[in-house]
Amino acid sequence: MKYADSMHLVRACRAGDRLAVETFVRAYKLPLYQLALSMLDDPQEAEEAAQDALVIALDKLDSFRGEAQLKTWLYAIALNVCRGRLRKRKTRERVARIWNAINSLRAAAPEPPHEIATRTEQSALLWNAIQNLSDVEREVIVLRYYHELDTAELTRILGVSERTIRTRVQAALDSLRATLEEEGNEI
Amino acid sequence: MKDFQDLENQLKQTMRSRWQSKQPAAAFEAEVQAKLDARRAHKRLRHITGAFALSAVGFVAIILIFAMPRFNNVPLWFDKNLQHVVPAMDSTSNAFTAFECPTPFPTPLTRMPQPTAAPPLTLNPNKLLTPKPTRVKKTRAPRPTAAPTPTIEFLTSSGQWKIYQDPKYGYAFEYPDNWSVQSSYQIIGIGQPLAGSFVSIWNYSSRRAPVRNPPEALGIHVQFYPAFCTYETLEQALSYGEPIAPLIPDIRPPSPLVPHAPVGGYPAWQHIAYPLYKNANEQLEVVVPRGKWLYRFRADPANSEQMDVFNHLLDSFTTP
Repeated sequence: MKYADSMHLVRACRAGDRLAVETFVRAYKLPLYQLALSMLDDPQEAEEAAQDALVIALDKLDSFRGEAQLKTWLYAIALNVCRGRLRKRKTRERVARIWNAINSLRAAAPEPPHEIATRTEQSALLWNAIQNLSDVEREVIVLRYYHELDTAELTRILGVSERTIRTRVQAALDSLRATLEEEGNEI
Repeated sequence: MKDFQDLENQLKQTMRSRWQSKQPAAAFEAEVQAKLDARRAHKRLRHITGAFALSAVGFVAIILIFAMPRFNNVPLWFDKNLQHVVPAMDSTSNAFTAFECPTPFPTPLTRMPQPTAAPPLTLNPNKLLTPKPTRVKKTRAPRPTAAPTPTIEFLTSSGQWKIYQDPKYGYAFEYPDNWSVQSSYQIIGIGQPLAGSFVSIWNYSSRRAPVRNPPEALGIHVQFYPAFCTYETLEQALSYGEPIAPLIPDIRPPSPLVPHAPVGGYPAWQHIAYPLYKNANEQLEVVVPRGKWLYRFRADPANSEQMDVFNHLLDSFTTP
């Protein structure tokens, strides 16, 4: 491999090496896409968010000082991009709800194929419970159990203390359990 | 209910089944590169635009500074009436000390007669000497308990003189020692207040003047205005700050300026000017432009005693 480590790659990217930029994108596109997908749950939007995160990261490489792992730094950027998109999406949904209510034309939206597929699975209720979590709780659950990041990494990415991370994880699990109990299902 | 470990495992399986098989599109890298190029191009354009805007602001600032060199370090008023910019008054300090006219005051004026060919000053005696009709007012019988109205005791010059020296601008002149002096630094013109001073010498004691400017009073006025070099002609400068003119329907315009004997060692001109107050007589005005300043002396030419004092005042006038 031409680039011995991540700092070597970062230095080459800063110097304007196009091959380095390509390597950088190829190396981190999948983790960032997976992170964006898990946060946004929309493949198209996740791809755009991952691209945005990579563009921002490549543009701001000068501010990366190597104090954290490159992957952690990229996750923090991608997470911020996803948060911004979630905010916009919520605003859009709110406006759409108001518009539909005003016009009394709200019809049941056709569910996307993956929703139908999920319903057939045993974990459909759990998925619904995850969707009902708050943004903060869903964020920490996805990062911990899907991306399998440890508490120290979550601390750096989310910018909060370890104690806060543990509290959020516990609260999210309690919330999931309560939701599932309400539905009359035990896991 | 199973323990938390089961819930955590179930969470992992649920999320993996939903997301793990998905991959970004094949054109992902190319799109990132295109977005990155566009972002950098936009950034460069923003820098160029910012630099251009900064240069434009600097250019305009330089133009303004060089276009108005006379007003450097001086706050400005914009006179809406005369469409003319004059320096603003600083009530706390003499802000005009740093102000210098770029060229000497425009005297003698192009429209003014030369001193050698000047016609003698002609006054309109009918106009000037006509006594004002006395208005007879209905008077009520004085109430027994009412305090007696103080009367004004008009004084004649005792022949002794006192020196008045302006504490702010330093000019000085002599006046009768039993007359009163009132001075002000708040000069209100038609447009904006000006810097300078306004000194009135009255033929009564200030303690015995129950009303302001009684019509029988003899007043000599010395006005001291700054920055009249910004006007093209002396007449224009004199027309500024005439509050009484618009109030009198058939007022005679000021007579043309003619030379006067030097005052304080400086060339002077005189003319018949508007009265300072409504119902007052027309005034003989002597004007002395000196550098950036303009001194204006006014008196009632119909009153011989006042003219004696006036002439003594002009003879004794000195500037710092």
